[in-house]
Amino acid sequence: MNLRYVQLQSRLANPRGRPFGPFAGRRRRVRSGAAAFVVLGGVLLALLPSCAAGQGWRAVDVARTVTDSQPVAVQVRYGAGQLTVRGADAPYLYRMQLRYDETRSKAVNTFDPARHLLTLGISGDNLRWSPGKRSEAGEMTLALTRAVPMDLSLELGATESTLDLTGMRLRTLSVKSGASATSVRFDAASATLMDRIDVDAGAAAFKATGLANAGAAKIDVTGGLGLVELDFGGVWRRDAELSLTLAIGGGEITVPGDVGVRILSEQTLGSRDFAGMTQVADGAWETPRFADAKHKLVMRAKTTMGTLKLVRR
Amino acid sequence: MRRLFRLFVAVVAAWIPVLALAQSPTDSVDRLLKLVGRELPGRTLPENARITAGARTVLTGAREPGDVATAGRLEILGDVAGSAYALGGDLVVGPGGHIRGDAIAVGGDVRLDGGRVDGEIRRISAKPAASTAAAVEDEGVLPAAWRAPLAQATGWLVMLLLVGIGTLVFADRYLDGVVRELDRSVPRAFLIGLAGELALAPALGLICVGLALTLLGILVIPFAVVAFVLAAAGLLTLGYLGVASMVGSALMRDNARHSARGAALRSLLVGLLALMAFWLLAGLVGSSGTLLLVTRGVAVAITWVAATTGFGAAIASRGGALKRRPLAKSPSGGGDGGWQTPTPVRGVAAAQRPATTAGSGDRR
Repeated sequence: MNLRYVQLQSRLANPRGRPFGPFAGRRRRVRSGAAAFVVLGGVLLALLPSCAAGQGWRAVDVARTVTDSQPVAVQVRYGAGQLTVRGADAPYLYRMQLRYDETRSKAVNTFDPARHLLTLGISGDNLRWSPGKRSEAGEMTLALTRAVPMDLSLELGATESTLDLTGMRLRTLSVKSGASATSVRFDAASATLMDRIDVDAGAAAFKATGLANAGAAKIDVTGGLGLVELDFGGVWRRDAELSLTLAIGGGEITVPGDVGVRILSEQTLGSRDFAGMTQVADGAWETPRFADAKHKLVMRAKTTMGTLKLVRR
Repeated sequence: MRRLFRLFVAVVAAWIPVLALAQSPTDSVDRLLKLVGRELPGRTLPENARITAGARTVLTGAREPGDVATAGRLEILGDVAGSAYALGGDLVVGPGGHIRGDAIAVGGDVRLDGGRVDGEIRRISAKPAASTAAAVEDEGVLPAAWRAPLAQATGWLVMLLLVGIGTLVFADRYLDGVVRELDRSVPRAFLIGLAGELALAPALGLICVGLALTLLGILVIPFAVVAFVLAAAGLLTLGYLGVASMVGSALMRDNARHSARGAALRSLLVGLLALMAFWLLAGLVGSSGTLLLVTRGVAVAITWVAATTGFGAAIASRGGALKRRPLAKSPSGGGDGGWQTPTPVRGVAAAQRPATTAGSGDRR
């Protein structure tokens, strides 16, 4: 007598009051089978990350000293992780401390003495979209000289960046960021006035403080989805022009009370808050006694579905 | 079973040297030089014979025509035409010191105390760099870029083996059901799997829409999505394991000598090794090049075909729960006596059911 015969007999007898009928056994099997697959799937998905996390972390600490007083162009490319930029002590031209996953990217540090071009950061990482990398991201700390004039260009991906540019002799600053949160600081008036600042913040939050300390004549900011905060605090030494283009995100501009502000605003489906300003023409606002102000900020703003706010203090 | 054990021992033994070397770094000069070589590939490193032992000072006024390297602290007060290497100590460039090449300290710091370095200043840690996720680089015989894919493939193999053993122990009849479905027709299972893969997203969408239409069901949507994903992953895994078992049993022809469980385990292990072979090979061939492309391409193709076929078999067999009558054997071979019962059940003569045609698959 085989086992299946016994099972059949017991089913027919139905001693435990289980569902009875030609498909009852199948239903039970399917139900317990479904539970088994859910458990199996859960186990597989739970173990998946441990298998997928094939990483090789490497640390790089590299520096170079200043050899002459010629201006230097610095290009920084960083995909995912935490980036900190600050001023370097003499006699360093730069010092880069980098921790990165070498299976995914490569450290880059080249200096072309003929062109005075310094390229730093990592290559190989996707700058625009790096899903799931935040939790396993690397770090980069970059100290840049305060001794020589510099054109600084940063291309950032999914990073959290803090750029303390206080005291650097910057001529131009360019920041292109993907899905990052970028903070720029000028805590003290720089020794040289900047020519321009260009910011292209994609789906990113961008915050700049002490912009007057930078002394930039032209500032061009393009914002995508995130919030753009520009604080023109600090020591005003010359007038400035700000070109602000915002898509879906919001913009908040903070200006000292003694600085005259003129805003030329084109807005689609957005809102604006220019408290304390007077509309002088269609799409044009000015602070009281704008013409008499010692320093002036002229702002051209284009916003689409975004909100724009001006704060004077 | 003995052959299975020998196979397992051979696989483990093959990995022992790699694992042992990966776990036993020593702070030798060779190792420190290797770190420099890894960080600066292509660089001509100082020969061992020219590396001095212990602290060394290049005195003021002295001129070194080439590289200077020492296993310990290195102080430069004179002029070095090449690069300076401090292996396991600090490198100090004192007043008047001038390094025309690079200044490199392994396991130490580079300090500029009034000296000059024309080239690069590099500090190389002698310890592994830990990530925020606690991943650690190691010092194996293979380059890290090679080891990562290899480790991943090995990890997958071990994980699938563990899941497979768990399935054999706790849900063997579902695995049997999938294998039976595969025995019935592999092309059919593949086509069903393909259709199933294409239908996954629409099915999930339909479920969500259906739940949303009931209004109250909206609350259940997140749970339904999770359950759907888990069930799909479970079916896929079960199917893949079924394919592995089938491949393994096809490769191991002398299973009859073993017990049923032993044969099943053996088939699963061999099948998984066969299916994962190209992934392991891809992990060994390096991080770039045509060979890597080809091996990875083959590995992806094999995995996809196996997963799709298994998925199809798992769907067709209702996750292995559906019992199909075994294929009829030729009259000369005798029927399957397993269904013989002393009394008729559901009106079928119990002594010997009539043979069905191959592949008819009528359900019980």
